Amino acid sequence: MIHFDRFSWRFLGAQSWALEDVSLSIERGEFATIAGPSGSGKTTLVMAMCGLLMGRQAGEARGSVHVAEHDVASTPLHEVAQTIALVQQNPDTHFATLTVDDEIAFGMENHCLEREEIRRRSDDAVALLSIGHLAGRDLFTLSGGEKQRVAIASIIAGKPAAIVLDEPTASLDPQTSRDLFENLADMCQKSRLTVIIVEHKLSHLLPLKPRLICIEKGRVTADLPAESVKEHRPGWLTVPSFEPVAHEDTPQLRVPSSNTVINMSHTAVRLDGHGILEDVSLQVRVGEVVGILGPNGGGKSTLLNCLLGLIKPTCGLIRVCNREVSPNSVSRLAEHVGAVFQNADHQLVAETVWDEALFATWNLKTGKPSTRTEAGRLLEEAGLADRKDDHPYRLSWGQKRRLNLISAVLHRPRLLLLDEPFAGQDWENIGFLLEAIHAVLSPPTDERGAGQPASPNRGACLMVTHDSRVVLRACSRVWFVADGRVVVDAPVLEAFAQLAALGHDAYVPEMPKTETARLQ
Amino acid sequence: MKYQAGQTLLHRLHPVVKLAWLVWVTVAVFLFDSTALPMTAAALAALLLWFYRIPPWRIPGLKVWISLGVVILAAHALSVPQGQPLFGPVTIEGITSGIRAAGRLLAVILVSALFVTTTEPVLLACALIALGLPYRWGFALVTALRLVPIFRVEAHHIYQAQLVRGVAHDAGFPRKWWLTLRHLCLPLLVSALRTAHTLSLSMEGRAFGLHPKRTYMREVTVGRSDIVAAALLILTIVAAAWHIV
Repeated sequence: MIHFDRFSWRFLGAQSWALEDVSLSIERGEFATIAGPSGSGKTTLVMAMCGLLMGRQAGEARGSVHVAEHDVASTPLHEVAQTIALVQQNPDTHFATLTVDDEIAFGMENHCLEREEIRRRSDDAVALLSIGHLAGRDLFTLSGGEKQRVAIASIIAGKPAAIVLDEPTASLDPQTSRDLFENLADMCQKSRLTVIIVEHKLSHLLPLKPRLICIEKGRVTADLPAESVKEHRPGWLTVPSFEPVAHEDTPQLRVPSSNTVINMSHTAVRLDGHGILEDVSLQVRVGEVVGILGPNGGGKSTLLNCLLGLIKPTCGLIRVCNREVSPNSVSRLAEHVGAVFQNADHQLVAETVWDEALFATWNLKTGKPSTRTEAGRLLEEAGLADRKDDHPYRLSWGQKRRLNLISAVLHRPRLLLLDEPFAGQDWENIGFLLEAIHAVLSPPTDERGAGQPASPNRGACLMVTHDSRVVLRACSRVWFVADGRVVVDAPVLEAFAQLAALGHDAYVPEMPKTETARLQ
Repeated sequence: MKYQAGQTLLHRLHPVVKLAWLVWVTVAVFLFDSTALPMTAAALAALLLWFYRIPPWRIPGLKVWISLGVVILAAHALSVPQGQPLFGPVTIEGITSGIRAAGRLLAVILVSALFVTTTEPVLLACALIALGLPYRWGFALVTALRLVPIFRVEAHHIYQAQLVRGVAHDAGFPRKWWLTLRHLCLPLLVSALRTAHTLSLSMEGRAFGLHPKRTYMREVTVGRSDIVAAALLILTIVAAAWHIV
């Protein structure tokens, strides 16, 4: 049904080919996953098959892409979309109307279907996605997972033969991600719909036995049928063993430290009488790296925003780096706290990569002669040294994430707060981000002095993430935040044991044998 | 301020009839040299909002509008020297004129709020399209309503992200305004362009604009209450015209 014949694509002005000599066929009713490192060409591949490349983007093409016998290059988008339709990563930018029912009917109304037919197909799509309870709801009031399901329903109601989902779970919690994948696999079986998912997080997807198409540097490097994925999956899919940033076994943390970076007592946040955070009391010591897990809307981001002073708690007291946090002290607190938010673009303001890296140090006037050297070194390690005169918006998503982190750590804050820093990142990027975190927690070389032994850590880090694998390898402690409460607060392995006992097994990563033995 | 779902008579009224009433009330309060008319319209709208569990003080920006009303009242009181003196340079005519001007402003705000909270935007678009408005224009209204809150949330996130990187947005005026303008505009513009591009692809992929006309799952029907409301509207317009002539 989808056929790539020696297809290559190069964007205008680019030196290298984004896709090179791709030959690939996907048949009707297949459940396939496209995986690959950041910047490998996954999104370009799906853009090509959905008719969003040729004739819409400036570039050079070789070879051909056919969808249901039609050459995509010469077929109008709405015709291609009747056969293969793309569900965007962010459902908020996909919706054209205001309510669930209107959104599902939107495409069918444009195709001038009769009212009865629209109702019938809408009901089918709603039943397939199990979203009957959302009927009539305002789209703004839906959770991330609900929005993603409505977006899928709005596409399949048009009865395409195939749907493509570009990282549909990038901002969803593990339980919602698992449910969505199961829903898609089930739909594929029941309706012979071809489902193609571009995804980084494969742990919830591989048990559903998809065909795995691997792409690296624009080339298809592996195309594995469902049965052989386990034995032959490529090396980059395997989680590398990072040096733990501050695991419970690391020497720094064996020594109890009375030096607290965060002291939060009886903090609550209420909005319109609704409890967002309820009576949270927490302490974080120097050297700790806390992974914050939990369902979407559970209060994780509110917790971070309270620590930054961006949200004023209804009651309770928060001290960060021995300073009381209040909403009118945010920019002053910034000297001691570095933060990276969910959306990379929201943090880019300067006109060059170099200026962006140094932006916070200029605002805070904390630049030292060594800061520029440090900036150069970090950009070099991030692979951005040759891009320092480029505009930050020209970087790839993974590169922007690296730049966000460099900009947040250059003024050497004592506390690092990260909100979903690993979403959509491959292991190479995650490795870099963890190294940078490690650098913040360690004392600077100029303070330590040459030849002196490593002194105790100077900072702490809190990271909100949906990736339990990173938490297992990089954190010393886990908070599980749900319904505004910290339900679990324990060292990593103990926390995962507690989560499993509480039935939250979607949050428990696949453990290496050594760690499973320790857990037992 | 946005649509609040409900099943009241005002919610069920035909959107175009409601729109026509809104336009007529807005015109009427300025057309007649009456103090009672705008005050009655404002009071009635406030009562209905209250009845629909939307306390008027929750209308965004109402404090600003009330402050503006007070300024207008004061300006009129001080600038109309003719008439019976009340105290100092202030006359009864000046105060009456001020109340009339402030009342007109308040009436327009409250009646508009009543219209917005009881009219579903998609149904309004459908009704206008049924009356001959090109459907692309109708959807421009719906899409704008869809994007405004997204951009508002994004602007807030961008503002917060810069605050924690030491941009002193929490400094005093006018530095705060300058910094906000300088650092907020570019990321917001880029984000808006991206969102608009993605949305246009999503709409085009679902055949928006393919045919000169489209069908609608939802039907806007004309009921007895709509006919009564429309007849009342025509009656008041005719009576007003009679009065003027």
